[in-house]
Amino acid sequence: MQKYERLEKIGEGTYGTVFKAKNRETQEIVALKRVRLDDDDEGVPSSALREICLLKELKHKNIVQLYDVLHSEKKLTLVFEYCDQDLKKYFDTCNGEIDPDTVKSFMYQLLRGLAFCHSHHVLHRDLKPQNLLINKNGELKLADFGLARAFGIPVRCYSAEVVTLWYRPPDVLFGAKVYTTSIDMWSAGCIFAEMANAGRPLFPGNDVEDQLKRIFKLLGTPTEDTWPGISKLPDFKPYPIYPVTTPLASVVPSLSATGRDLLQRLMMCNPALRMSAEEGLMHQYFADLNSVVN
Amino acid sequence: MLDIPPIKRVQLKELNSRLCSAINKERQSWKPLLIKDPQDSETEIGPNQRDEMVQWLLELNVKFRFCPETYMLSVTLLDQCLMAVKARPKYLRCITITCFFLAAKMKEEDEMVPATQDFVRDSQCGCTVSEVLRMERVVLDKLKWELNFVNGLDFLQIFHALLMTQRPTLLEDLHHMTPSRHLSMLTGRLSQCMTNHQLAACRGSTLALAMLSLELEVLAEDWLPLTIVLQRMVGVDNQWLIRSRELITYTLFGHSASHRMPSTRPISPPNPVSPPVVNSQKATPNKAKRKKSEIHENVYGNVKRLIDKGKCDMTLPTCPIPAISAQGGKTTVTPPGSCGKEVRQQDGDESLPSSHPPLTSIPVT
Repeated sequence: MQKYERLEKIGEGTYGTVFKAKNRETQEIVALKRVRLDDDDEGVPSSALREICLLKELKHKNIVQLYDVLHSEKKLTLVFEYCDQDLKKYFDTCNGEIDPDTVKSFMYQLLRGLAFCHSHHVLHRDLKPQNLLINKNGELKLADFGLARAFGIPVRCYSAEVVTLWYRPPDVLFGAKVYTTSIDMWSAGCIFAEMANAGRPLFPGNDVEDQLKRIFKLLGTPTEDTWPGISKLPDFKPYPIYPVTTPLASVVPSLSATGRDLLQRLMMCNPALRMSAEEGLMHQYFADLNSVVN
Repeated sequence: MLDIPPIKRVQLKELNSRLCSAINKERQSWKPLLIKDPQDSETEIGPNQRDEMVQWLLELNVKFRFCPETYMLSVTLLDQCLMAVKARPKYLRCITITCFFLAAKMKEEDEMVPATQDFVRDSQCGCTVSEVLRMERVVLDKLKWELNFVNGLDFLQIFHALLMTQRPTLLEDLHHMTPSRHLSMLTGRLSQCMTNHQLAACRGSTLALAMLSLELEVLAEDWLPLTIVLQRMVGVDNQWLIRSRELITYTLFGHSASHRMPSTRPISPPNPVSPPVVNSQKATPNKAKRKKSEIHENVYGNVKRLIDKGKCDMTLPTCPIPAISAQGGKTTVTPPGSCGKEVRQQDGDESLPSSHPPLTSIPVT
């Protein structure tokens, strides 16, 4: 690794260790994601392969940029633009308080990055605060495309083992293998609420059942009427009909009325009714968006 | 402009965006596949060997129960490799299985991809795990990690979806035929076509269009204007379209026309392995015995009609892809005047029945 001087370990990604490093020539600070290839006989992990191929085509200010790929017999190194922290670490520095304008700015950038992915027919499938990077200019970037995939026209069955539990939509929790961009929109909604609450997760479930209960207790249990076809999902089982008692205003007290409306539209159990990223960007909530976001 | 319901409009917008990006991608990355007959068969890989490997890939794809996208990508990767490196024939099997392995990692979900060891064993490729892993490095390096190629299947899916949205009655006369079965049948044919290096040398857009136009000829009386609309959307060259149609006809039932030709409609159900049926015209029982050369003549005649009719009967569609006009001057054959607002059927003997809305071009927003 001559070209880059390794500075310090930043963290562990889904398939490798991430280091902060400096380009010896340009002095530019970068992030190196290192994948060991000699641990097993699987060659380049599929997650790394997909991440590289997808990121080569997804160039956008709200998507982390892949600069280079270094491939040797023993290891594979992905060179990324450096971001100071991820959203989860950002929350840790907030001490339970977050500026509403920051929430708005982050949410807008999240939706903008997502809209770009979706318009390029890519699903992220693992949105969570750890995978959203924040740099010192307050720019938010989607990262870790290890579970991402391009989606085609004829609906195909995909894996239901995607998205970290807390951010997984009810349809996928019920085992849906046919899904589309709506899968990311649910996660975006969960992250929105978590941001508004300065880092308190909206649905921190322990397992699939607990996760669904938490969701239905807040949003009401969906039925065939509100969500036609729900009972035909592979892992469907009936849940108690919880009455909706908690108003959204008490769940996200710091969020404005328009913010709550946006959240409500993202948190639709029926995926067909969930708002798209492109629609989200047009929402009234962003009408007074600080011009700093560009 | 037709009154298109909102949902359809969304679908059309989506299809248009997919078509645009597929065309742009093809423009950027497509290179003609050139494999010459080897002068020395010890040191050079010839077209026939390439075709054998693709046939093997087709069988492997069925064996591993992978999706057609995986097979198509593996063929594309193999062809790209053969263009990028001058490999010795003894490495061909290893290159092929590596391309298949890479395609599976790209297109299949992780739970579908077997461990390398099982993969190598079950494929009976005769290579060792370490050979495949070494080759993986070489292939990725030679292809510069660019594995997202657009191919005929992408275009076939887009064209098919366009036709199904715009002309839902198209499959009415075929018994038990749903759009997805129909697409799957066409996909099977396309897969078989890739085993002919001459067809693999066509642009994916040309191949898909030629394939679809042969099918449309069976299904729709106005197959000609429909073909022309699609042709102008992608700017496919007439000569290549004719040539591809001939080659497809030859590849699909040229060798053993007697048992592959259908005797009657409806067309047989989808079968990814042995491609069923392509009719260059409406099938009749005695047609099954028609000779190859006759078929070719007919295909040629029909395409000639296609071109002649196209000149007089159609007003030209919007060119939905800004890039066509923007970059068109360089390489592509953009039909002159392809910038009308919509496809209108003019009065003429080929005019569409009123129950069928014409295939509209899609407004770009």
